[in-house]
Order: sequence, then C-alpha cells, then structure tokens
Amino acid sequence: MGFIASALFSLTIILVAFVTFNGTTKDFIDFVAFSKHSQNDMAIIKNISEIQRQALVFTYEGYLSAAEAVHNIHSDMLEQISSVKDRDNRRVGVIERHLNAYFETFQQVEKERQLRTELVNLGFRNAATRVENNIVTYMKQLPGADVSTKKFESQRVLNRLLQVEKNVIRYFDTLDASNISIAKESITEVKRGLDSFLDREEESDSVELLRQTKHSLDTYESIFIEAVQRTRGYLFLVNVVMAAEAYEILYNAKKMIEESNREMETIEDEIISTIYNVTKFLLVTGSVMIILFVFFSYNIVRSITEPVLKLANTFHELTQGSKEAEIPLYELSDEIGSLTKAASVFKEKNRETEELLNKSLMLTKELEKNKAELERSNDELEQFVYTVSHDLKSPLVTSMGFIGIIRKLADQGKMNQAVEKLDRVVKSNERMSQLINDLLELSRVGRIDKDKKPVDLNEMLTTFKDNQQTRLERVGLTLTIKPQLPVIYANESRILQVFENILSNTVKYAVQSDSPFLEIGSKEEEDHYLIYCKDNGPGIPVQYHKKIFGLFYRLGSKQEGTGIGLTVVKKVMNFHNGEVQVESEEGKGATFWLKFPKKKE
Amino acid sequence: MNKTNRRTFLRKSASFGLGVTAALSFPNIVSGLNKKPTIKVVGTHVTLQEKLRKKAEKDLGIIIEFYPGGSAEVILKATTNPSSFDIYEQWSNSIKVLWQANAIQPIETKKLKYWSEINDLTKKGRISPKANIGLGDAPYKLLYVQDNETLGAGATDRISFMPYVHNTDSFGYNSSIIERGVPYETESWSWLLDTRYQGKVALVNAPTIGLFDAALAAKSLGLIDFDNMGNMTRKEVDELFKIMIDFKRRGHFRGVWSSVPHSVELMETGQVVIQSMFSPGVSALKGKGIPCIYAAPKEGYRAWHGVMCLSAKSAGEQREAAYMFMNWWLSGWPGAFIARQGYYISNPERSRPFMSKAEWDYWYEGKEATEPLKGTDGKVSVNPGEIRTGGSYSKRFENVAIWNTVMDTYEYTLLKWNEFVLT
Repeated sequence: MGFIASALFSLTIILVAFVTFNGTTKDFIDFVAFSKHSQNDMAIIKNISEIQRQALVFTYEGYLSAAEAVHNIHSDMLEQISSVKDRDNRRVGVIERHLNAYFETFQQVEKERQLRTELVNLGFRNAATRVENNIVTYMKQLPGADVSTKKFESQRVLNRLLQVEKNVIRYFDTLDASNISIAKESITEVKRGLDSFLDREEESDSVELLRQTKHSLDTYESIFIEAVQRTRGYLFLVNVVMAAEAYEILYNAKKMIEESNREMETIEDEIISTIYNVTKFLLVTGSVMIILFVFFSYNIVRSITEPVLKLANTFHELTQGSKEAEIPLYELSDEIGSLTKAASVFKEKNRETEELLNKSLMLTKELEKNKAELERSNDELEQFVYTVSHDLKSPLVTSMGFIGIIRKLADQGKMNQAVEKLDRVVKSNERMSQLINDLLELSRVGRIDKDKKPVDLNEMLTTFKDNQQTRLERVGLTLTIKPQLPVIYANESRILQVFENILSNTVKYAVQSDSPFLEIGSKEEEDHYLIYCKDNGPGIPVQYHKKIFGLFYRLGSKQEGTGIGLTVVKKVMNFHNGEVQVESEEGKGATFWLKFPKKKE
Repeated sequence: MNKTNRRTFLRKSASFGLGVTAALSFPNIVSGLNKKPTIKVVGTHVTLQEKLRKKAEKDLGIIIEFYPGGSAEVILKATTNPSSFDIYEQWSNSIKVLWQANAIQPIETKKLKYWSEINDLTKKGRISPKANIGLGDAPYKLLYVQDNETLGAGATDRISFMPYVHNTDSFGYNSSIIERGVPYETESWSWLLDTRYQGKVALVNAPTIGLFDAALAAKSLGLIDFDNMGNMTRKEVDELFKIMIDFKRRGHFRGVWSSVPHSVELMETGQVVIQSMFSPGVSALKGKGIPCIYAAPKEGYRAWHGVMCLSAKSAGEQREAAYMFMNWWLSGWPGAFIARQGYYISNPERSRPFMSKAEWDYWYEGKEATEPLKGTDGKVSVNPGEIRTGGSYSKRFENVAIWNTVMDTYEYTLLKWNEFVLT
C-alpha cells in the first residue's frame, strides 16, 4: 500500500510537472508570439517614422531615392501587416487602412512634386528666359528718340522681371508666402511697364514683340502660380494628411505594443505565479512524499515485523494452550497470512481441546456427582428398603401377632374375641396396603405424567380451592389464595398433588390451632418464582426441617398418614428442577417455599 | 441636424493642398439638353447637395453639374485650371489663393438681384454694432475688388465672392464626463488644454482651423499672446507650437481628426472627451446618445464663411447662367433648406417665408423648439424643448473671436503642424 501510495504520489507530481510544463510552454509560446507581435509593431513604428522622414526628404529635396525608399518601406510594411493579419486585433485593419491612405496620398505628393519640379525647372525657367530675352531684344532694337530713357525703363522692367524670378525662387527655398506677394506685385509692374511700352510704340515689330512678351509673361505668371499651388498642395498632403495618417498608424501600433506588453506582463505574472505555485507544490509534495516514504517504509517494516512478532507471541501463547491468544488481523495471502491462518487453526484447536477438557471435567464431575448420587441413592435405597421393610413389617408383625392371637383365641374357642381381633388384622393390612399405594404413587413421580405445560396457578389454585371447599369447611380451615400468582411451566397434576399434600399436612396439623388458615401466595425473583404456603399450625422444630421430607417420617405417631406426602412434594419439585424448603419455628406456624425456575426447560 | 454638410470638409483637406484619390469620386454628372446652358460647379459636399441641384435646375431651367470634392482637391483644381468650373463654392479663406492665382473674376454686384439684402456681417464685418469683427480674414476684408485689383474692405461694385452660407464653430465636450459649463460665461477654449482631460483631447487636422483652436486655448490660459492671432508671425507660430508640442509630449492629446466621422468615433469610443468639432459631428453624437455639448466659449467662436466665386474663364452664356445660379441661392428656398442643417444664409429674411415660425425661432432666434423640426432628410432632427447652443444668429456672430484664415505663415505652419502631429 505504501509503495502504491508513494507511486501514486510520484505520478501526481509527474502529472503536475507535466501539466505545468505544458502550460508554461504554451504561455511561453504565447509570450514569444506577443513578443514577436511587439517586435513587429515596433518595426511598424520604426518604419512609419522612417517612411515619413523619407517622404519629407523627397518633399523638400526632391530626391528620387527618398521616394523609392518610401515605396520600399511601404512594401515592407504591407508584408509586416500581412504577416500579422491573423492577429485578433482590429487595430491591424486600422493600421492597414491608414497605411493605404498614407501611400495613396504620397503617390499624389509624388505626382504634384514632379509637376512642380517640371514647372520650376523647365516651364518656369523657359518662360522667364523667354520674357527676359524678349525684353533684351526689345531693348536692343529700341528705335528713335529717347532711347536712353526707354532703355532705362526697359532695364527697370527687366529688373522687376528678375525680381519676380528671384522672389519665386526664394519662395521655393524659404516657403515664405510674402515672396509670392512681392513676385505678384513685380509681375503687375512688369505688365504695367510692358503696357506703357505698347502704348508708345508704333513700330509694328516692336509691338508684336511686346505682345509676345506680354503673352509670355502671362504664361510665366500662370506657371509660377501653378508651381506655388502645387507646392502648397503637396506640402499640405505631406505635413497634414500624411502626418495624420502616420500618427494614427503610430498611435495604433503603440497601442498594440501596449496591449502586447500587457499580455506579456499577464503571461509573465502567470508564469511566475505558476512556477512559484508549482515550486511550492513540489516542495510541499516532495516533503510530504519524503515523510510518506519514511512513514510507509517504517510501516512496511512494521507491517512485516509486527505481525511476525505478534504471531510469535500468539504462537507462544498458543503453545501454552491459550485459546484467548490474540491473533493479529492480517488479510493478505502471503506467508504471514498463512502463519496467521495457522495460528487461527492452532487457536481453534486449543479452544476445542479446552472444550473437550471441560467436557471431560464436566463428565468427570457428573460422574462423581452421579457416583455420589448413586451412593446416596444406594443409601437412600438401603434406607428406603430398611424403612419400607421396617414400616411394612410393622403392620405385618401386628397382623401376624393378631393372627397368632386369633389362632389362640380360635383354639381356645373364643371365636367372638377372635373375630373381634380380625378387625385389627384388617386394619394392619389396610395400613400396609395404604403404605404400598403411597409408595407406588411416589415411584410414579417422574415416571408417569411427565408432560409439562404453562400452568396458570391463579386458575389452578382457584379451582383447587373450590374443589376442596367441602373439606375445608369440614375442618374449619381458611384457605386464602393471593392474587397475581405466576404462570409456571409444569406438570399440572403433579403440581396439584404438591398443593394437595401441603393442604393435607395443614389439615393434619393446623386444625389444632384456633382459626386455622393456609395462605398461598408468591414472590418473583430474578430467575425464579417462589410460592409460599403459610399456615398457623404448631410449627416444626428446626431439627426436623429436613427430616420431614424423608420417607414415612411423621412428626407424631398420632398423626394420620403414611409419612410419604412431603417426600412426594420434594420429588415433584425435584422433577421440576425446583426446590422445597420449610421455614418454621415451633409454635409459630410453618411456611413451605416452593421454588420454580422461570425458564422453560 | 446636418446631414452631409461639412462632413467631408476636412477629409484630406485644408484651405490649400490637394485631395487624395479616395476623395476623387464625383457624383453622376447630369447631362442636360444641349439647348440649355450648362454650368459647372466645383465645391464641397457642404453645399453641393443633390436636392439643391435638382431644385435649382427645375427653378432655373439650366443644366447644373456638381463636382463636389475635398477642399484641397477642389482648390487645386480651381487654381490650376479655371476652365474646369464656372462657379466655385468654398470658404472665405480660399479667396486669397483663388484671387492670387487669377482663378476667379470679379462679380458685379449690380447683377446680384438680392445684393442689397446681404447683411452687414459680410458687407461691413459686424452683424450688429456691438459685434466683434473677429481676428483673421473676416470675409468683408476680402470681399471687395479694389481699383488696384487687390481685395479689400472698401466697398466697390465688384466683389470677389457672393456671400451665402456661414456658421460658427467651437469645441464639443462630453457632458457625462465634463461638468456642463455656462455658455459665454464659463465655457472656454482653455478647456482644450485642461490637464484633467489629459490624453483625451483632439484637434481638427487642419492648420487653418485647428491651429486657431490651439491658439485660442493657449491664449485663454495665458500661455501666449499674439500681436495678431489672425496673422501670426513665424516667431509666434514657433512659440505656439512649442507649447502645443510640449502638451503633446506630456500625452495631453489623443491626436487629430481628419473627418467628422473620425471625430464622432473618437468621442463615441471614449478616446476623447473634448475636441474641436463641427456641428454635424455634435449632432451625430447626440443621435448616438452621447451627451456632446457644442460649447459657446466666452472668448468667442471660430467662424467660417462660405463663398461663391465666378471662374476667371467663365464667360457668355455660362457666366449669365452662373449669375442666375448665384441669385437663385439667395432667393429664399436654398437659405431655408440650408438653415435646417444649422447653417445661416447672408440674407435671412428672404428665407424666412420658406420656414415655419418654429423653425425660424429655433434656427435663427435661438429659441426653444416648440415642435419637432425636420432636417433636410425629412427626419426629425430637433425635438421640442431643445435650444440651440450659443443662442440666436446675432448672438453667435456677435461673439466671433476669429475667422478661419490662411495666414502669411501658412506654409510654415504646415511644417510645424507635421512636427506637432508626429510628436
């Protein structure tokens, strides 16, 4: 059991360790996944910062390599997003949406930037050069008077034209809108100058040249205005639209990192908690297991040695013949179990031996008792023979004596006297006959009428009293039957004989008293009933208390009877495993106690 | 309250700049009978609504083609190719650019049937004598074409744009989180920089708009002062962005929003509790059960004004048709239509007969709605008992702190804006 328990315990520890390891592995995998997510999100943050930086470089410097970098970073980011699309996070979709908007806007920036570049580098330059050349040509071919004045004015217009270019270029450099206002004012002045030239020119070639110049100036103005608008356009796109899209990507990526970090912290806490708990568990269970191991080892040793020691003691006791020797409980079918069974058999044999011995002792005692009984019976028989012989001999002797007297009287011819003496002979024979009948009756006790049954003494003695009423009245004896007499298990006719004999005794002796009575009552003891028969007769001296139950014993020769009545009472009581005793003092009446066992035989 | 209105105003847009391809979708162009004159109208979804187009076509018997797009896209289209449109509809802060680009031609006031009804807000800068003009490019400063072909406030019979739709903007806040303030008394732009709302503040992603929200907030807190907030110097721009970037570094801002739906999402999801807002966003949040309050800041509103311009290339029959369309806009019905989206028209009395008394009282007088009021979509947008925040039309425009403006330092603010957004 100990080993099984230890094995189960070890199995539990292994299972716990396995489950923990599995759980921790899963947590670790999740942790790594979140860590990768976090890294990926960090990469997104890094990339969005870089892509915006490159976009700004392209915007302000016009480096195509920067635009290419934006495209490349965008592709990388798309791949990054694609690789994490399975993440259960709506922010991935949000980031993707903003990235798409960001890149679409950048494409627009590229287009506008390119257009502006073309406008500035080509259209603007060409238009500026064209206007400038026209004015220079006009100056060269200035005809007529006031040439110097016209040249001076033309030079002033030319200078204003250069101011336009200078301010426009300055705007593109500084992005200061006031330069555009100055450029616009300069343009307006140039236009006014050209208009004034036109107003005074008459030469058709010059007029045509000035008209072309004015047209070129309009083109020039529209080109730089468009360039300004496109500049402002892409500046807005990159600084406002793209910045906001980039910020939303940054914001959501940071939020995802925070979420991943929170998840990782949760997992970390869980792992630490699990490791702590499992370590604690293993420490506790390990300690418990060691304790159990020691405990079970001790018990295993004990479970082997103790039964053996106990069995040794048991066998020692058994060899001493003990049948009370304690046999240790041992239910396993091993060697100790076999020894235990053997001890049980040994104990059973001891018990049987003792029983046999006890039986033998009982038989011996019974034998001795029987022997004593037999000796007593023999004594009684001898006494009986002697008594019977003596008592039977007495009427016979009397009878023989009177017969002899009768014979003598007959010989003497005294017939009347002889006949008178015959009555004496008859009486002696009748007495002898009575004796013989009583003896016969005594011998029947225990032999005939052996059947026993529950006998309600209340009923029986009430009937008995009724039947004896005449007799009682005749002798003046008051028979009192106390109520609540017991029901005993007995032979009814023999019990009735007991009460008849006691009543006869009372009648013989108690009638000599005044107001003679016989009271029959009962007492209940633990295992028997006591029936008493109390009279107010002359009483019985103590020395006769046993003798009165002897055969043919009478307290006085004057009394009628054969002296067998109480002997019959005693024999009937013996037959019922009961007893009869007398309690009496001379002159104080007598009480016969009849003791009946409660238990049915 | 408003349906499409300014929803797409900021999508990839600002006063200048380009739209992106996502915003390039145009509605179906309705081709009319060849015999009818056809005009092309370029503008934003705020006013280029199909119901207006159909109604105008029906009333005028001309063909009208709408080309709605993002603000950035349409202004580029207009400045680089004036032939692409006859009418240009956008905001007053685009006028300088359009005019500078020679993209539009002056409008003759004598050809505007209802010119005399246009109120003083646009003509003189104040809706009432006690009103603030407001910093920045108040529309009246750019309205009149001066003799030297520049734009100015001096009245002439040529104007750069026909005034029509306008409104005031401010910030919105979630009153389930921020205790509701008292309009014009406790509600303040400074709330945008209140550190109690750290991490839950957003600005509109447009330097010509959001920058002023930030400037009003910083000034209200006493962190900065400007010689002229409506035209900041580079130094002031640097100083303002230093403050804003400092707040951003401390995690004060959730970020910027680029469209009205985005602003709605930010507040609806609890990412922000206070931010720059447009009225359609506020209405949308209310519709979703978010108790968003459109503040009436004690410092005043940031206002905007719609402009209707005539292309420099429009001429002949198209130009006449364009004038018809402009006159139609001020004829009453369109003003009433647009009022149901919460916008005001420059000649309100002309629209009054087209509105119920309850509508007029609610939208213009700032009184409690006495009956359910329907929006332009036919659905109830205002329930009885509601009062428009900020009060009446006059009250709101008497409290204009600044107008959406393209400053001389516009390009520089773009660079700084990038730094702010990406900090």
